[in-house]
Amino acid sequence: MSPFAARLPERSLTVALLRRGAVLWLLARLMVGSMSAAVSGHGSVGLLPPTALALALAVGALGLLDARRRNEHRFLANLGVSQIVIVTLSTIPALLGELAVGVGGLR
Amino acid sequence: MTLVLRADSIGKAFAGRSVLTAATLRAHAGEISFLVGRNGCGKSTLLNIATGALQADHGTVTFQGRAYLRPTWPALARQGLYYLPDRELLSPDRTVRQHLAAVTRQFGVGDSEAAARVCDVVKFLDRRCGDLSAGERRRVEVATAIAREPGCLLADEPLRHIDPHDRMLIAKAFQHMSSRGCAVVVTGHDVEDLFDLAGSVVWCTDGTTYELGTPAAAAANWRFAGTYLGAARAARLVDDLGTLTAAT
Repeated sequence: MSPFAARLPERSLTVALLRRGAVLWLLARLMVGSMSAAVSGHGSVGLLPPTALALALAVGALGLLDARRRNEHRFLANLGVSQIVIVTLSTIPALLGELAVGVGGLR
Repeated sequence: MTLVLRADSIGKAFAGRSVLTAATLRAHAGEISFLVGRNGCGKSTLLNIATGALQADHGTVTFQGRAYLRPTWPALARQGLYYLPDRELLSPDRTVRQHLAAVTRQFGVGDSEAAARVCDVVKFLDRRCGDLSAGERRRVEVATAIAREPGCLLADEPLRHIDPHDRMLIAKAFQHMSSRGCAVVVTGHDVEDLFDLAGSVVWCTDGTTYELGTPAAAAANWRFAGTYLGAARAARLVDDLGTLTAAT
């Protein structure tokens, strides 16, 4: 097993963290869209790259808070999973989502 | 005995108040050590530092022969350390079986069914941890530790608020781990139970630690007896431990 793989939680926990990251990103996106609609009168889908990155990082931080709320961070620590890994796994769906929205918006 | 974990010359202050000045904790393979001391003396702080859950102001932690200036809990966990903190360890949304399976799959070791049997949690394997009583949850936490097959287990007040039946099960589980070579360190104020369980006693007081030796030697230590146990309790313990030694 590679050193990076050893730092990841086992498959079911990895999937759960990725799924939660995706849900958090969708909720964050809905919120950003509705705020944009309220301010400018029309909901904009595309975000500038720095804003999209900031949103993805915010989703990662929310993923960590969610893991702490669910009382999972101590158990994950005993599995050798650090908080940085939790943030990273929560951020991945948001980054992929923003990439997909960005590419779709350019077309 | 092989030294598995050593936290040396540990110092820690919180908001200018010094809790530990030069504390040392040693855990030997196959031995149960009892870290004892009054409330607020720094037992949990020392365990948190030895685990990497908290960073010391000074001192080093050596685990499995490797020295760390700033250890982290996940890094030590990957090397074979398991920590049962005095707060909740389990996720209330997940079942007992999911927790045990996660441990065995993560490290590719252990037998979750056997661990469940040792702690008598087989009958509620499919219940959510949030639906269990405090004693049942604590037994599940210990079962996850057994499933991990760690080189060292640190348990912070594992018997607190636990009924006598569950105490007995948890004590047996620690003995089971110790008999398989695990270095076990427990804290708490349940002196009678933990003196029966432990092979050595470490007293944490005045920011430092004293290795008092066997429980019988600790009970006979006049300073420990006077400051922590109280004379009457110390005399009773010396009698009990003497009887126990004679019987075995």
